[in-house]
Amino acid sequence: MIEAALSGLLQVVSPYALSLMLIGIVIGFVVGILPGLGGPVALALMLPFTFGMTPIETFCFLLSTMVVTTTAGGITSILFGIPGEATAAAIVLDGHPMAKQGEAGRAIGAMLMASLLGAVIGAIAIVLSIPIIRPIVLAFGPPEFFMLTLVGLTFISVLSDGSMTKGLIMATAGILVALVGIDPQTAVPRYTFGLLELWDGISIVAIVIGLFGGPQILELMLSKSSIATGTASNDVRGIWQGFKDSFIHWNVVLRAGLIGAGVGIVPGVGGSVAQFIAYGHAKQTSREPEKFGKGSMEGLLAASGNNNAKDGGALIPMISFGLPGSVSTAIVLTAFLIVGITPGPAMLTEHLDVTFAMIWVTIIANVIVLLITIPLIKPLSRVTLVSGPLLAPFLLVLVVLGAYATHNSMHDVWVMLAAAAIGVLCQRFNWPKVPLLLGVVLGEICERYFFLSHSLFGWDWLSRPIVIGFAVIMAFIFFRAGRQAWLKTRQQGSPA
Amino acid sequence: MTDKTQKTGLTVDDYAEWIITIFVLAVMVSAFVTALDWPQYAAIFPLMISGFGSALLCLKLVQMVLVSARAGHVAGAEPANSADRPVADDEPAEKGMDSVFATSPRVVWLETLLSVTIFFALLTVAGIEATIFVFCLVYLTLVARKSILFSLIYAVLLVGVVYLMFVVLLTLPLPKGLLFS
Repeated sequence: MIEAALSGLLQVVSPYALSLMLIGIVIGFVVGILPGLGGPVALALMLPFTFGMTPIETFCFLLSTMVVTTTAGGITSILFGIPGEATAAAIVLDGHPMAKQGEAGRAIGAMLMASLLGAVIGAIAIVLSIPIIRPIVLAFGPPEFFMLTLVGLTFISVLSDGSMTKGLIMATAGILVALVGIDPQTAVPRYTFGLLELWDGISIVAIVIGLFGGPQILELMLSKSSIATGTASNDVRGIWQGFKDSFIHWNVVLRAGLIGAGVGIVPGVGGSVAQFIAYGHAKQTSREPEKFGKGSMEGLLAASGNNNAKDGGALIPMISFGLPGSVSTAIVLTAFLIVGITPGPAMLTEHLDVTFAMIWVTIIANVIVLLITIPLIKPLSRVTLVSGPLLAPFLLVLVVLGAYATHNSMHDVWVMLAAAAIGVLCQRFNWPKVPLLLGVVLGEICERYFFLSHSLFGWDWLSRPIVIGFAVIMAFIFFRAGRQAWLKTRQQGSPA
Repeated sequence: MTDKTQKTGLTVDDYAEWIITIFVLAVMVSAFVTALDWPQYAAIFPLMISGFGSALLCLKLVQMVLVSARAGHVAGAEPANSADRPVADDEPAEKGMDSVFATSPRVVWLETLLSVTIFFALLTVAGIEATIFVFCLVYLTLVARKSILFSLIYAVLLVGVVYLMFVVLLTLPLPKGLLFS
């Protein structure tokens, strides 16, 4: 195994492979920073260029783009409060408040370092899982995946400030939104109101951009002030402080990375969910949960630490079974076919050096993006000092194009606008947005696994040991969140 | 905006809480009723979700009634010190940046909403390039109080950057608008 690891590393650091990686990183960085244009768009555009490349060169080119779009999406989340990627939505929650407090440099530094550490954790997870992954993944069927999505939704209880009921209501509403469109089992149009545009469902990207970006732009237009008010300390020391923060809170990054790698394995669930599970877990175990959502470093690190680790996790089922965990990995899987490699057991024996090369790319690409971004952090941070009315037209254009680019349809722009209106109402009247988004992301997956579980096992799936294990975890999460809320109410109710 | 009205003792936030809860409950019940007409396999999951959602919203309404009753009781006993009323689980937490939405004057709200409406109306009719140009010019001159020259340079640069990024580099189409589609 060590020989294969070294062979993979040597092939990745060859000048030609490194230059391909650099091209991939630059494209990934530009695409990642633009809201709505995610890894799948970049990968789809680059796929035709891989014809004629060797397997290692192909994966250097594609995987570097994939991991860098995830990281770069966090920069837009921090600076403007608009997620550059759907998988960077949780970074908005604490990263943007930090930017408003004049700590954009520190926030970006912490996000980059946590992403790099997350990539290393994800890579280690792949290496350690190579000998044992097959029995573990095979132990998980539709009932277990269904319960895992429910566990993800349960975390809303800790994400929604002060109200578990509101969180659950919003999650339920989100699932209903996800059910809009043609039912995949019976081909019946559901909640489409006779509109053909709704038959394909509602775009998650448009909802993410609207929910998070809409209120931020409106706030800038209303306040007419810059994102960061007062004196901003966006100097180089802030960046280093951000790097140091990710090591000071190493346990948060480690746990977020492990959650990212674990959830990334589940097909279809991926980073959109992993980020909120990691965030919810960090909040639940933090000594200062009240700071979450207001610029908590732990919250930012939890959201950032998992976003590259989940890419590592998503590679595990793809390499072992040819089972893509996300749209991006599905495109990478196409590249496997182009270069003539069949994913499966051979990737762990015959092509082990290629597997290790893929692991090395996820780490090296993050190191390079960190080095490239350091000189950019200071000018990027200064954007937070530009006045609101000057930024507003640029941001409006950005969110419109981000939503439009999903399906090249104005319909997604209207969805984004509706989501923005809901986002503003949520923010104004203190209804949690995150559970709504999580419901939209998980709704379709949740129904699919429920349908499969019911079709395959009737109701007997409820007695499967792993299902019961997940149910116990959910009960524990509810109990703990309920107890915390009860204690808080009691404290506030008792005389000082 | 959060000041209590003199007659009822309820705040704007309290009213909004009632309206949002009742509206979402109506949506959930409609979703449940609509799903009843579908075949079993298409309906089972939506029925479960909308049923569960409706139950949660009823629970929330009960919570709100209880909180209102308790708050009324406390207010009756100690009318001078309403700040001491018990804090409910679902009560809005401390406001931070959200206060911009609550405290902005009505004129600023109207100006902003009008700007956004004009942007999207232009986008629908004339496509993104013309919208960027016209909107930047008008918005920056009238709202941001920038010079026409500055607004013109900003508008031209933004159109150029968008065209270069999306059309030339990424070869992605841009919204055309009804006039040009």
